[in-house]
Amino acid sequence: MSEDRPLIIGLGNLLMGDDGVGIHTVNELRKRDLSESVDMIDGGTAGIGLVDILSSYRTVIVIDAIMDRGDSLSGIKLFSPDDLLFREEDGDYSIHDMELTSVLRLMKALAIEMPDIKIIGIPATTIVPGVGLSEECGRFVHEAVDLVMAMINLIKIDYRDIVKDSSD
Amino acid sequence: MSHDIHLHHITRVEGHGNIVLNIKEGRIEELRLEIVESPRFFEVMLVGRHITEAPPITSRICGICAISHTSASIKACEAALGITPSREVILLRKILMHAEVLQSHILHLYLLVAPDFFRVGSVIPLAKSNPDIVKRGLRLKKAANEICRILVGRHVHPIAMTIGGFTRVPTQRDLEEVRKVLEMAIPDMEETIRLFEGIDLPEFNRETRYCSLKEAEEYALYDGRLYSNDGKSMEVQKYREFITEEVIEYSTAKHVRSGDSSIMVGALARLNNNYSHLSDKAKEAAQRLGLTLPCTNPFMNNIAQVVESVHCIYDSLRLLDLLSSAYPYPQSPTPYTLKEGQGVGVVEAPRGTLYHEYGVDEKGMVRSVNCIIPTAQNLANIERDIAAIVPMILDLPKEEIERRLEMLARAYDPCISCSTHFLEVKFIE
Repeated sequence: MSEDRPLIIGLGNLLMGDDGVGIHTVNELRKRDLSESVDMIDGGTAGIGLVDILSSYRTVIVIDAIMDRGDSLSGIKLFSPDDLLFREEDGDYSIHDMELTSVLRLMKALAIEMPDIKIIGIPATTIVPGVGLSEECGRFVHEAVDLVMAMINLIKIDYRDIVKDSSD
Repeated sequence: MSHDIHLHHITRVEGHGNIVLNIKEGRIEELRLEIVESPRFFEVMLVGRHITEAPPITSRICGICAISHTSASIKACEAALGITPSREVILLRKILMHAEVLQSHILHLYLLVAPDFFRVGSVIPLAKSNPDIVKRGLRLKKAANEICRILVGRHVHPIAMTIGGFTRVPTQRDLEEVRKVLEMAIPDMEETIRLFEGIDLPEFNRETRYCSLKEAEEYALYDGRLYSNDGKSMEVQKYREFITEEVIEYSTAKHVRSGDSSIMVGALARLNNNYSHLSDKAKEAAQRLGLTLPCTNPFMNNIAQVVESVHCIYDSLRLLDLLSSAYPYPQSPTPYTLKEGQGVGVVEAPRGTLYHEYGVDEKGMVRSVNCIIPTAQNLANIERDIAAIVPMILDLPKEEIERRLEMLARAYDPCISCSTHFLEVKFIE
C-alpha cells in the first residue's frame, strides 16, 4: 500500500463499442479539476496487471461495462468485490468480471492486502467492433460521472473525519 | 472406440473457439478448431482514419501485445511515408519488444502453464499451495511492465511511441532505472529456469514449417527478413508470397499456410530459426532445460519461452549499453511530410510474427489495411497436431486425454483473453 489518494480506474476496450464505457467515463472525469485529489487510470484490458495497480492503493473505484444474462438492465449498479466473488452464476455481471474476479481471487489467495474497492457497473447494449458508445449507453456516462464525484466527496468526508477523530 | 469430444473454449469479448473432435473406431471422423477472431474487424475500423491514429488504435487490439501492435503499426506507417527512424529509436523499440516478450511469456508460463505441472486447475489453487512461485511470476511481469512504464508511460496501450520516434525521449536516468529493474530480475529468472528444469513434458514430435523473422547479426524480434526452416527467405514486403491466408468455413479467423504446409510461429519457431544469435546466458539455459534444436515437439514451446525470457533480459542490458554510449542522441520524432504510399510493418510479437500493411493517400488517410496476427497463423498447425496426437493417446484414461489436448493447445500460447479458464472438455458417448 502506498497511495493515500483514491484511484479511479476505467476498464474495457475502446475498440469494442460500449465495452469501453468505463474508459469514456474516466476521460469525462479528466475534464473535472480532480488531479489534485485522485489518480485516474485508463486501465484498458490490463488483465493480471491489475494486481499491481489495485495493491498500490487504499481506495479504488472501478468503472466497467455490465451486461445482463436475463432481464434488461435498468440503470447503473454499484458492486463490491464480494458481489463478484460470491455471486450466483446468472444475473448481472461486469463484462470484465472474469478478469477482475480472477485478479481479486488471486490477490486473496496470495494474501495481498486488498484496498477498499467499489465497482460502478454501467449497462452496455452494443458490444461489437467499433469506436464510440451507443446512444443508450452514452446516456449513462454523465450519471456515472456524478456518482463518482459524490463518492470522491464521501471519501474526502470520511478522511477528514478520521483526521478529526485522531486529533481529538 | 467412439468419442465425440468437444473442447469448449470459454472466452470473453475478443472472441471464442471450440475444438470439435469426433472419433469412431479409433479413427478421426471430424476435427475442427473453430475460432472467432475479432481483430479482422479492426482493419475496417482503420480505413478512413488519419495515419497518425493507426498506432494508438491498433495498440488496443490486445492488452498483452500492445507494444507489438504499436510497433508493427508504426513500422507500416513509416514504410508508407518513407521515414527512416534513427538508430537510437530502433534500439529503444527493441528494448520495448524484449520487455513485452518477457512479460507475455512469464504470464503464460507462471499463470497458465505452471498449474498443469502442479496438477491443479488454475493459478488460484497454485497461489494457495505455492504462493512463492506465483509471486515470483508476478514480480517478473511487474519488472517487464515497469520497463515499459519508464520508457513509454505504460505497458498497456503505450503513449510515447509514435511515427518517427518517441514523443518523450528517455533520459540517462530513465535508462539507468531500466538497467536496475533488469538486474533485479536476474535472480527470479534463474529460479524460473530451475523451476522448468524439473518439468516433464509429453514426448510428441511432428515436423512442420517454422516461420519467423531472421536477421544476419542478432536474434530477430523487431526487424529482419521473413524466413522459414525449409530455406525460404524474402523481404517483408513480399509477405503475401511467403504465407497464404485461407478462408475456413467454420472459423471467422483465416487459416494460414506456407506453400503446402501449415506453419508454426512463436518462441519455438524463432529458436529453431535463430538459435545461433541467442545470448550466451540463453544458450546456457536451453542446454540446462534439455532443449536441443531443431526441435519438433510443440510442447517444448513452453521451454522455448523460458529461453527467450532469459535472452530478453540479457540482450536488453546489451542494448542499454549501446544506447548509453550514444547519449545524448537526436531528439525524435523524425519529421515527415504526408504522401501517398503503401507500407508493411512486421515484428515478432510474443506469440509469433505479426503483420500490418497500410495503404495511405496523399492526405495521410488510411485507404487499405491488412493485419495478420500470430494466433491465427498457428490455428491450422494446432489442428494438425491434434490429428497426429489423438491416435497416440486414445488408450489413455479420459482425464489424461483431456489434459494432454489442453496442454497441447496451451503450449501454443493462444491469446490470454482466450486462454484464461481455457478448455472445458466434454466427452459425449
